[in-house]
Amino acid sequence: MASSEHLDLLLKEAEQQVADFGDDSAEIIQHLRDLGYLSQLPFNVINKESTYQKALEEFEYDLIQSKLFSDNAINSLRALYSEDLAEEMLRKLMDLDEGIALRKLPEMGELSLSSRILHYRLLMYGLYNFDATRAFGFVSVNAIQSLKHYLALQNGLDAVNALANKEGVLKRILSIYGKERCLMFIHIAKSAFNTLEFDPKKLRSARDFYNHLSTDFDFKPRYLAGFKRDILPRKSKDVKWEYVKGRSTDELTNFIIKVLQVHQWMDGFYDGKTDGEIGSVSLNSIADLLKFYNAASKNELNLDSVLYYIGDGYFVFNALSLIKRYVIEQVPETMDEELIKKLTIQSGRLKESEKRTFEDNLSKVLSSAKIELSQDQQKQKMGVGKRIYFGIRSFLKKLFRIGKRLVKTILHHLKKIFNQLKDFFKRVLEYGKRALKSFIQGIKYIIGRLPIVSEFDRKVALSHSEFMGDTLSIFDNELSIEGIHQHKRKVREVQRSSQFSVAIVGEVLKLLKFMIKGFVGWPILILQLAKATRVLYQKHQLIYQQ
Amino acid sequence: MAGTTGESTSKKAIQDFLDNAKDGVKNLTTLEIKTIVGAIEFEKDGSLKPPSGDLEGIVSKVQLVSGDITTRITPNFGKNYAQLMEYHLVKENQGQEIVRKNLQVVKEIGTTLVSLLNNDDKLNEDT
Repeated sequence: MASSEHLDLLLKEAEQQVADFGDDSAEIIQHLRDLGYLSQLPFNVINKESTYQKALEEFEYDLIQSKLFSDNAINSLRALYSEDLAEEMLRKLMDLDEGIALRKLPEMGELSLSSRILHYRLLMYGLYNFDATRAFGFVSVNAIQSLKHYLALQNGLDAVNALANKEGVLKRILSIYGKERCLMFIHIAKSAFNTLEFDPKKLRSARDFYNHLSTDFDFKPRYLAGFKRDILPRKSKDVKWEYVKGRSTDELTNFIIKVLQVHQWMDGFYDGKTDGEIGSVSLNSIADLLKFYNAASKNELNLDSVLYYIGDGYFVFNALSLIKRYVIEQVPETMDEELIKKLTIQSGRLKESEKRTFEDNLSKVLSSAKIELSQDQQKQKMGVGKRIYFGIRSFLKKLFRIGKRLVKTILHHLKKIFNQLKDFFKRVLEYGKRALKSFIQGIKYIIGRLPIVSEFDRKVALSHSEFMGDTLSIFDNELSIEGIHQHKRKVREVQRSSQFSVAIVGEVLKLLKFMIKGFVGWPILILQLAKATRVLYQKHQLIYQQ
Repeated sequence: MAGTTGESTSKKAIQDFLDNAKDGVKNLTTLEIKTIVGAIEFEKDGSLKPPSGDLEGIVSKVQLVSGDITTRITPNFGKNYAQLMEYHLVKENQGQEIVRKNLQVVKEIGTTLVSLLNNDDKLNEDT
């Protein structure tokens, strides 16, 4: 496999694209802070890099000690992610959508990666108010007790692991408590009304609210008749105020709101604290969510269909309407691939003038995503540290609902979905970047420019493997045994990851079809590449599991 | 990336890749694994000089068709560098497996690329 000037050009282009990604450590910094490996304080600019690396190394050490993954699994994952192993595992462990199950609860007094993750999950669901670095203790046990109670589970470990699947938590709440509990009674001080992005007094259409409610409840007249009589009467004096006030302060309502806040946060609409109290931030985020859904659907849902102002600062919120969208809507397992496929096919069918606008709009979102990835997220909003959600599935599910209208929406209504699209790209770009890095390694391997050099006490070893198997290794005659071992390890790692990189090259070369047709630029190519990488990762994991 | 120039460049890149792959596979009859020990020094620009002085080492040639393996080894290599002897034998065993895997990859890439060159009009159908 001799080198080719055209592969060289492709290589240069890919290297430039990787360089354009710049620093994208914001997500990892947030995770390291959440687990207590980094201080919550903003970085000192001078030693940012070393502080960050040290925290990452500490995490990786704890990861191996934790035995959350077998040694075999870690080796296989290392081959897959190479030098990005710690970052990738951090992402997996912090996921509250398809998170990883802990094997056992920590012992009393234990401070480990497991105890940190457990505390993080409890904190995110508003059940624990301390630092993740606090050892597992009575406060943790009490929080788990509350969780077991809310989720009606006997086993604490099951309850903690349930939190790693936020949809599962909602499904469980629905099955235990029924739809009636999803009507939330909320109190907001009238003094906070001026922070609302809508006028509460306009949320007085009992008819609209009731009609929508009956659809969500699949027409259960008995319960709804009572609700209409007691909560939506014509005259305020006929409201059952005692019931409204009681429901607005009960613990279960508080917990369900916390769960909804986690969903809102992961959908990119809420960045406040998960405190179970619906304040103006939460209500505004509901209004934003509806705007997003309306951009995606012809059947518009107005705020007054799901939120009703009873009076005296009290609202009733039909959370079932949101929960149904979160839980009941079916989306395919391969939605990310489907989504990117839709984007590619539909954008390919646009008229010339539309294509340019589409590309420009997509580039704007991509640039914004890159900038956000490179920023240290330490902003404050409403007195609460702003926490950005970086996971992918939640965003994908939401974007998937837009379906066929996605390209048109990007073309004509970019503003309405800008933030959600940006959040989606942030995660996809991560795959894109890694795919490009693998691609570069794969091409270098194929054209014979991937020498592996190790240096130990100023003595070196060099190995070079040709794509078709020929191998040359040269060792300095004074290299120590330790140096030899170090080099052997390095060769093993590079060779394993090269196999994966070569497969990526195959996928990238398949993408040449887009270049031949000449209808797409880098935004779509990177998305395609990201898609291909995800598929290859899955294949790769299967190979190593055999 | 897009447009006419991109189109011809990409087609040339595909053709180059296929030609190189064909040549590579045609010449693929022997696998050579070399492990050498010697004094390694650097050039002024930081690049490595070829090893000099007394060299020791082991070279294996694997005939891929017959499976015959020929090994040449300097007299003291096994005694002085047992660690590297073991490393070399591992490489020798891995060599054939690597060839098998990479041939599979070349076949997959080649099949896709040939279909692209032959079937330009249907390029975006499977996207």
